[in-house]
Amino acid sequence: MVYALTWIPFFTALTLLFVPENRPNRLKGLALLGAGLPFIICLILFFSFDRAAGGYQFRSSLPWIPSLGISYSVGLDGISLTLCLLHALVSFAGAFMSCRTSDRTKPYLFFYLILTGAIYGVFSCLDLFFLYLFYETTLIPLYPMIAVWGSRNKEYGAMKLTLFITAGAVMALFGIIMLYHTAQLQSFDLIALTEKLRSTPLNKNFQVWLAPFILIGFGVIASLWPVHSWSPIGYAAAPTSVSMLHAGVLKKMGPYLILRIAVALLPQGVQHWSHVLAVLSGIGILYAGYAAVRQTDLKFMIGFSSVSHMGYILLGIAAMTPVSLAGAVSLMFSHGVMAAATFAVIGFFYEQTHKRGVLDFGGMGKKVPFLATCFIMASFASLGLPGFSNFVAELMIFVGSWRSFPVIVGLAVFGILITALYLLRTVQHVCYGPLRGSWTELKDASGFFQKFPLVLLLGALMIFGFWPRGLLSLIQPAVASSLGVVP
Amino acid sequence: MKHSTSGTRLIPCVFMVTLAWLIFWMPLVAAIIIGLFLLKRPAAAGWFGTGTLAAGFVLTLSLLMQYRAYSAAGSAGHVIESAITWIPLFNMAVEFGVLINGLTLLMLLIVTGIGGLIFLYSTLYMAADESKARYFACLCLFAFSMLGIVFSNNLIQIFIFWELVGLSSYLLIGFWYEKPAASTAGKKAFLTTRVGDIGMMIGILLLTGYLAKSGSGTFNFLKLEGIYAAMPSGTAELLPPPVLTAVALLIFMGVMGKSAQVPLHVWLPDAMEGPTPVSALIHAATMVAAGVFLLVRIHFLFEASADALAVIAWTGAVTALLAGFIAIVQDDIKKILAYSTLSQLGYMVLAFGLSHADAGMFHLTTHAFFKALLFLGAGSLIHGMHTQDIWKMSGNSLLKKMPVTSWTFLIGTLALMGVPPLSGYFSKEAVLAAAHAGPAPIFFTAAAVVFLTAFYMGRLCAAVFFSKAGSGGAHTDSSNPHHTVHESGWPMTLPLLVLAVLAVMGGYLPIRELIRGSAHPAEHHGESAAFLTALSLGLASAGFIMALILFRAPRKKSFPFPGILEKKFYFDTVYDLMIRYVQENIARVSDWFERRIVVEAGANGTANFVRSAGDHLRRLQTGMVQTYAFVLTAGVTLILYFFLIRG
Repeated sequence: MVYALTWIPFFTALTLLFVPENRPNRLKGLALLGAGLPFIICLILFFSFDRAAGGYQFRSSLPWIPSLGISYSVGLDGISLTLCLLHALVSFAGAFMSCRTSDRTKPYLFFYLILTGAIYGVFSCLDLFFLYLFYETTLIPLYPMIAVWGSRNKEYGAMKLTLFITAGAVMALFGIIMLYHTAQLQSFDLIALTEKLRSTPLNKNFQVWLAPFILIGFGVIASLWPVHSWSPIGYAAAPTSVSMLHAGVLKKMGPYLILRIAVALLPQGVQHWSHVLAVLSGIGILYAGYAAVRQTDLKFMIGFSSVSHMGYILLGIAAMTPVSLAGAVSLMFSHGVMAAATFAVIGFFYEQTHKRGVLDFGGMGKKVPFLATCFIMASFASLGLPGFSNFVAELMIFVGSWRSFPVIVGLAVFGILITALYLLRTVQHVCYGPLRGSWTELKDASGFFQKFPLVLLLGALMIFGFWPRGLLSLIQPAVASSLGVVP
Repeated sequence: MKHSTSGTRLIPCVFMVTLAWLIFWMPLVAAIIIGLFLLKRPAAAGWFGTGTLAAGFVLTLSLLMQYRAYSAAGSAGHVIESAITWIPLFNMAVEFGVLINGLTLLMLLIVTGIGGLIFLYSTLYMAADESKARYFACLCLFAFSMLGIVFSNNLIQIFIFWELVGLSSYLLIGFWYEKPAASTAGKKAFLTTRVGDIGMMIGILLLTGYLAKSGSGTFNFLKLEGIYAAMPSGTAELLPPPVLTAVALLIFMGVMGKSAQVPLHVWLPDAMEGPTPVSALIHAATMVAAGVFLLVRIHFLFEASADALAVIAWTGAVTALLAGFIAIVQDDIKKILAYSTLSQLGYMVLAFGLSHADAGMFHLTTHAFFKALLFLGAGSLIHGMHTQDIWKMSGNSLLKKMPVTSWTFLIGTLALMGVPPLSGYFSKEAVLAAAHAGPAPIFFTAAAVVFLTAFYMGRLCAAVFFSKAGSGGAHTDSSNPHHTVHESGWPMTLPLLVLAVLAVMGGYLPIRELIRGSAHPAEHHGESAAFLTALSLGLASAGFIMALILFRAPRKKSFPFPGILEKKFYFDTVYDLMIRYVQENIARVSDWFERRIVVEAGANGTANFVRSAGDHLRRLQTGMVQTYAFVLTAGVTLILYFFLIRG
């Protein structure tokens, strides 16, 4: 069943190639199917996961290169299931947005499905070799999707994004290979490695030396300050559904892999660098927040905003307490869903007006009430308003990290004021005031196909905002066991 | 779900808890129903919202009766708590629950009762507005958020609803969002109160962080109270005194935000951009009351630090005085009332800071009666004359044309001034008694505010009701021939009458009896009561009469007030400068750093380095065989030299 998450999108993508270009409805139907079936599977997995038992579930394994200890093994624990659910929500909603692409729909949907499948691969895989393979696979469709279907400075954005992430990946690869060699286990199996290294931890100096490779390598995609600069321009250049997937899900692969590889396998190494990581996260929160204040392009602003929010996630990871880590994972979920919703709304605006300057809009509340409401709701989710799951996640990060880094947490709490500052300013410019410009022709989202993705995303945020235990009962045991503590 | 009671009488307790949850959730359900189904049917939305609050009020009365029967059988000051674990945090937990005691019930009555009247009033006031349904959805959300604060049994839950109150006020102050001033005011309210909320959050983190060290981390009010109560006897090292003071002051920041104390008061006057019933709601029944309510709810936390209490008392005194001064130069009827609210809030906070929490709470209650009355009255005047300028309202012989509005407004004025035997007299006396027992400067400030209150209200009444001459400004009758000043319909006048009765009778209601179980009662100073009454009555009548004499004649605006009052003591100016020069510059520097250093020097610099390295290396590939042959020979020679000759 877990294999299906990855391979349904892949096979659908292949099938798509045999559908003629002039049958757009069939193409779109297939794409929705390719993203929708895994969504349903994820829901089934979410409800059938045995929360009392915890640990990795739904495991299975295919031997691949036995001599090197490589096997294609999959399985989900509370953390990866949460992220799969995030990806299911975002990719399904993104599929609806992708179907609105009018230019060269077929290749776009093809790449979109490949990307979707590869991300599922990262989150569901338990073998470091395949994990890395899927990680790199996500980059392949990204480049053409941004460079061809993107907007404004798209070649530069695509190139920058790809180069940064590849460079990070190479660093991380070096770390992984070192780990593989030093563990002396002849296996890439994540569970086996975790158990081995827990019983016989690696030499502390070696951990201290190796941890930065993983932290920075995957920190790049988590837009750790100061290697974040690919992120705003990348999102600005990318088409809507790529921005949604990238800000929503791909970015979360960074903290996820840091958690899986660095925190679980090199705990002392991470501990050694935790102050540095926390300071960088703190800088990222405030700095990106202030940079977002100055942006006039909506997508740039949301890009910096996401850098700022990733700072909270990394801060939670740096503190390495069960509460802060659980908060970090919840924020990965919450921020992902929120960012996707924001980019979807901006996508609706952009495709009709080809404008996305903050000052280009005005009075949208009256003109397109549904979109404006969604934009306002997503903004309030982002600024940590209770009722959305983002609040619970940020609260847990604050409570969990306070003992380790009180000053940085204080600054991070101040950061939510900056978030409120730029988001409310933007909401005021975009949604309030008299109708600006010549947007009298602007159409609101109408009908099921247009409204569903936004309702899905915002609904998920509110469900887990009111019922945080739905996620936390998954995350907390998994986080505790990855830290090796008994909850 | 856990019920913590001291008795074994579980059945009435379960019944009360059920009632409480019902009262709690009803407004949210109403807001959702209006938002989803009634947006196209504004009239239905209005009556539905009003009905919900009315039902909430009836249920609260029933809860009150139950509670009295229950606590009469048991000990006084009975507390009923029911909570579920909402967020487990390993060794702590965030609960979600209800806490019922006298204080809860008093606030419930205020929120549902006065709130309900304001809802009823709004059905007519907003009748012509095209977004009336949205208005009522927001209003229900506001009531829900406020009920959440009232019911909360722990710090995080109260913080949650604290933020939701911020959201509701944002939505309602900026209700007419097409008006830039309105949306700016909404934003300002949200951001200013959030400054306070940040302090509050850090205070909560500091407190629980310290407690968690010894394994007793909790957010629960009753548990915290237990910890604080045990503090003098040996657990002093658990929370050292500086931490106690820091926690109290940080959490007080939240109060300063919501209850609009100096220097976080700047949002409240701007909040007048919202519809007038919203002002009434914010000023009487909900938002600003939240801060004072929080003070009383966790009084033990502040009373643990004498320094914090002193800061609180002085903040209250300064707020009361500054706002009183600013109020006397305002020309907008709503602005005058807004600064009046600030000033009265200062009174409440001041009383609390002098360890007379019950006096503060008492004043909050009576203030809710007469300030709601004054705001709704002002709304009725605005509704009738389409202006907010007190000088443009003058000369309309309103006492004849709008008798209900005018006379109830005058009753509210007298109550605000603290004229016996109206409700304001009793609560203001309680506050003055507290001040009298406290430091002399605070008492003088409090006494001066009595005079100021009477003076600005006298000025308002002189202009609006007693001025014979028509003002030079846009006279309503002449400038708008289609419109004549008239009394408003019954949904607007009925709440005025009910509130007028409350403003008159409020002092005789058993309000203090209800609070007494929840906060430390203050002993009364019988011998000074007569002196205080005489003093305050003297000051009030002096102020009122002076204002009548000064402003009844057409001298009106020309009175030479100092310019600093017009500038509202420069708070807004300073904040604007701070935002412009500090905040914006930090943002500008970040942005510059991003563009120049991170992107150009860091990322593009690396890229350029790689590119130019490539350019240089490319030159090596000349494609000329002679060059290659030369390099090859040179290389071989060098290798031979190193390996053969030197090796």
